[in-house]
Amino acid sequence: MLTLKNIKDLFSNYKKNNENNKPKVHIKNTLQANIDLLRQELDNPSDLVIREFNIKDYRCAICLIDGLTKGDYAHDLLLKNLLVDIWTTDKIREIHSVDELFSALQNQFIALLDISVVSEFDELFLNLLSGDCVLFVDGIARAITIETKGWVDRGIIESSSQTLVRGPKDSFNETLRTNTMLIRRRIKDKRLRVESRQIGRISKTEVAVMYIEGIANDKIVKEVHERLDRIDIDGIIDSSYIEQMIQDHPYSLFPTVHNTERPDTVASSLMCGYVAIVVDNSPFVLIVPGLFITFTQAAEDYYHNFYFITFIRLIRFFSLLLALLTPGIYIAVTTFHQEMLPTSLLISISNQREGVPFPVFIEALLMELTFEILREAGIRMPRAIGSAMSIVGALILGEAAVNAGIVSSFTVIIVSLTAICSLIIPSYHISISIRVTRFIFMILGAVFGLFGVISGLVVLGLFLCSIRSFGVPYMYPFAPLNYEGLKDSIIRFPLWKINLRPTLISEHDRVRESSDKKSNNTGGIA
Amino acid sequence: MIENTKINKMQLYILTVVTGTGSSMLYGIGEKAKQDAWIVVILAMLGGMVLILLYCWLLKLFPDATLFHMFENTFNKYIAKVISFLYVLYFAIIASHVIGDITTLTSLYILSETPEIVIEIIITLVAMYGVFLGIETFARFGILVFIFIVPLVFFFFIGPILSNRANFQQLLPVLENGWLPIIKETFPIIFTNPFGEIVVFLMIIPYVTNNKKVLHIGILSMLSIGVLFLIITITNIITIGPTFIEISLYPTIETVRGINILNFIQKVEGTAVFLFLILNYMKIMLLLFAASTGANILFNTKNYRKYIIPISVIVFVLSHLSIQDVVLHFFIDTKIVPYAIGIPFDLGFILLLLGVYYIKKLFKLKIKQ
Repeated sequence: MLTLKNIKDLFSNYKKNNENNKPKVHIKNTLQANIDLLRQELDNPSDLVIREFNIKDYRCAICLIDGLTKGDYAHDLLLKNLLVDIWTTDKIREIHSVDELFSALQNQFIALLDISVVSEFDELFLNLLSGDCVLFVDGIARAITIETKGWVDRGIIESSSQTLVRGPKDSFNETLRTNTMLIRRRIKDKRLRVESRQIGRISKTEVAVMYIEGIANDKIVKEVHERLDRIDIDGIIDSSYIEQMIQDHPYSLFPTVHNTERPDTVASSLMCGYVAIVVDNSPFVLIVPGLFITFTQAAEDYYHNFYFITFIRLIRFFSLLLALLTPGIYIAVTTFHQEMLPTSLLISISNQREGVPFPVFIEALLMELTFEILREAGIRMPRAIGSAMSIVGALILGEAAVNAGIVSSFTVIIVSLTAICSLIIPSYHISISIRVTRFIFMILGAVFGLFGVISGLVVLGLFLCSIRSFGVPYMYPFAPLNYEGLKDSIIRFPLWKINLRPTLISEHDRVRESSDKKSNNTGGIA
Repeated sequence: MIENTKINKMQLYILTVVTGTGSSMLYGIGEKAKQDAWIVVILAMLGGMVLILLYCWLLKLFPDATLFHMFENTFNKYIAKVISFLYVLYFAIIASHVIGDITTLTSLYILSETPEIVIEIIITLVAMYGVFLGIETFARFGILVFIFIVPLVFFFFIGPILSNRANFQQLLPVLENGWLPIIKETFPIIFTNPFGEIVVFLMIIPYVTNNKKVLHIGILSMLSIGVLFLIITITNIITIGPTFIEISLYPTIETVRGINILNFIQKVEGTAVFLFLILNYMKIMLLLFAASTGANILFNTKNYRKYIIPISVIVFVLSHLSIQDVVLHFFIDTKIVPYAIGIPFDLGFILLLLGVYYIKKLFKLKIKQ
């Protein structure tokens, strides 16, 4: 009988067989055959460089993809070395067979760091297309791949999405090696692990999982690896692909994986026991577990006086609530509960609304949508027309719309307030969730008034409390409550008071700071 | 993955306190005792502590068991089933009552033109969602609520004083009519909201980590509820006076209505309704959870979630019936619930359980001898 399970088995067997039956092409014995095969498989592209030359009487060839290799490596170190410099050694005169030449190439002649020997074309192609040089020797059915990766990248410039006033200004770029370097430079501990793998059947993107052994929770690390193993996709274009594939709650509106462009944030997260996922070709490094609190913290929070930061964080949480609820509450109050407003305010609002043809909900919705359109246009448009945009936004849609009596100026104030409040949130990631949720609250406010808003808040709160990121409750350290975690949440304690790492994220080795502040720092000239 | 599916003692404390609040926060307690209502609160709190002692005694005899397991262990199988079934109904009835309370409040203060049935449906749906997510989730949500609620409650206490509306003279004379009216008022309050419904406590104990020692949590939550109600009662008395408390439906709302600080912070009764709504949402979720886990134990099944929908429907229908007549609802609330439902379920069956347990033990001893 052909049941559903049978069919599924059939398919998976078919898939497995297909993968296993793929013939492995071995490297041929003759040089010409290898070059022909290479040309044929790649269809002789214009950026494929093949240079044939002789060492003594033995025919050799170097193949590389132009643009992916560091020019001075391939030319100065490799080619010059093999053609010119080896004649200055005595060793070359002792070579009498092709095998001797091959082992000498491996051990002596190539003055570059990372070389390896491959015998199959699959591996060879991967190396070649990642930017390595391949060296064939006639008569040997193997090839040497020499690491010469190097291409033009953006360099380490200032972060454009997460800016700050004080603190390190460097940010990640699109090269994985640069990114891991930036992290390593900040953590010189032997326990810092960098575990790489390739994801993507076609793109074969390199992904590195970084964590500090002994500080990071083993279960989280294991879970990250398992989830990465499960990804089966043709290509990874950006780290956000990985993020979407490893999220705990795929349908959740709220992000459960944090991302950042700043190496200092990654380094401090690693030292708290978080796990970082660095993806090649993406300047955004993922940090898991992503908790609600991590999205509300900026890197700069640790570089300033703690009184000031506590103040800023209070403002931030308050504006987060405002960004979420202001339009909804405004609609609810003006539609259903006018009696809740102080009398003078009520009179001024109703004066302004005189002559406005729409109900408050439509009016507010119109303005909110307009603002969202403006914001999206501001991101997508070419930079040069920025000033025209702001004129349209500020003058026509704000001033003129009020003067024309389409919207009341109070609604404009409310919309701009929400806009500013949603911009204060450090992570763009959670601010877009809040932008979307805001519309739900507006609808609830319009239909059920404050009762609807409150019921919506209860549902939202329950939802946020129910989701987890890699097993850690999303609302940690508020719910479940954790005293150590609370020291760095809405308020920030002085650094010398945050003694332990967060419990649920880091299991062992929890001491973070143990200097005795009272006895220190009192010396000096006096 | 990392945490087990249990709640900790802090969450238990919050759940218990939330159960204790609820509708009495609105109606006020001990209004017949006039300006001595605060004495009623203290006495009722002591009574509630006695109940907690009884419950913890039970927990010592039957560790790691819900109330229903205790019945099954002690009574004849069928009697245990009947009593358990009655308890499921009891939780459902209280839940329906709470829904009725907040529906009336909502339709009186913030949604006067929306049909009550719509409000009830929304409340029931939201509560169902919470129960579906599980006790862990809504216990965690309780912490968030608590963080926001505690400052609000203190604001409602300080507000009338800052608005210069408080008159401490209204607390005098103490014991104007002697102890009798106080005792008369205290007795039913012990067995109803805020102190009586803590019997739900016995249904969630197996979900608590280290549940051997919960006595201090129980006493602490009783104390917290007591202090909370003391604050509310005294604020009500000094702000609007005992006479007005007696004739108004929601004295607390009337008190909050009077808050006016610098002509800016005024008309905050909407915020007060907000507070009661959220607190009661928590309470409904807890009661629905108790009822559905109860039904789960009663019918010997694996997952309590399949009972959420039927029980919610029953609760919804009961609540809709109960608010058809506000006066009747109020009458049932004050005259029938404490005596007909509160006493047997909060105390009667518990005492029966203890009695039967010890009699059985005595018989076993005698047989052995």
